[in-house]
Amino acid sequence: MLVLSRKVGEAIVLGDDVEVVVLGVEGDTVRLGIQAPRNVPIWRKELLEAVADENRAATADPAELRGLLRKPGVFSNLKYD
Amino acid sequence: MDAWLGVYEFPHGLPGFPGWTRWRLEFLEAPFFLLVAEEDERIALSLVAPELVVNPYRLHVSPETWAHAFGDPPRPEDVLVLAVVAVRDSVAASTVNLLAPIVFDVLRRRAAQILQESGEYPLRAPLFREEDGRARPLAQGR
Repeated sequence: MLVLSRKVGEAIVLGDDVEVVVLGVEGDTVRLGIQAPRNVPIWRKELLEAVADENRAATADPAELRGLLRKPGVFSNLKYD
Repeated sequence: MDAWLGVYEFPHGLPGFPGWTRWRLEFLEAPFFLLVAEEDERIALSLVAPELVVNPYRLHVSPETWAHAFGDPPRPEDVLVLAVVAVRDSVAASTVNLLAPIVFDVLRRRAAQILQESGEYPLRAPLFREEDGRARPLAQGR
């Protein structure tokens, strides 16, 4: 991993068209400004990882899911109001 | 509804399954759909319409996210939105991922899981609520 030190107001450039500038530092929080082309998505990593974990937890054998979700009685007590 | 079913290309895979780009949407039984991995038929996700839990359910997608997921944004009439169900210890304890719905372009057969950053919807919304010992959908028809 490349490690760089930057001061407030300084920036780094990634490739041809992504720029990350340090806007400010307060305590242990760093505020970043990011300029990137519109086809480059920017995500907070912990959110993306939470969704990946949730997907992995939600996957199952389709036969198992069919059995579980079609089990008689599972929805017989449902009331749609 | 049959027009919705079949194989979709996920250009970026799914979070947790980045290399798996082809998934097949099947109807299971109301209100459930199945999304089966073409790479491994033993792997599937169950899906429901998010409106089953929150109605109306709003999709907040930035132009950047549309561009990354689909190139050109799909026409609104071609968009199908479904949410991933995590079946917990019991079906009644299942939760629905409203934070990151799966958006299908049913015309061009492309799809992507879209991470909503509005903070409006949770990663784990209960599919049912308990009331008088009976489980029922949270917001059906509201």
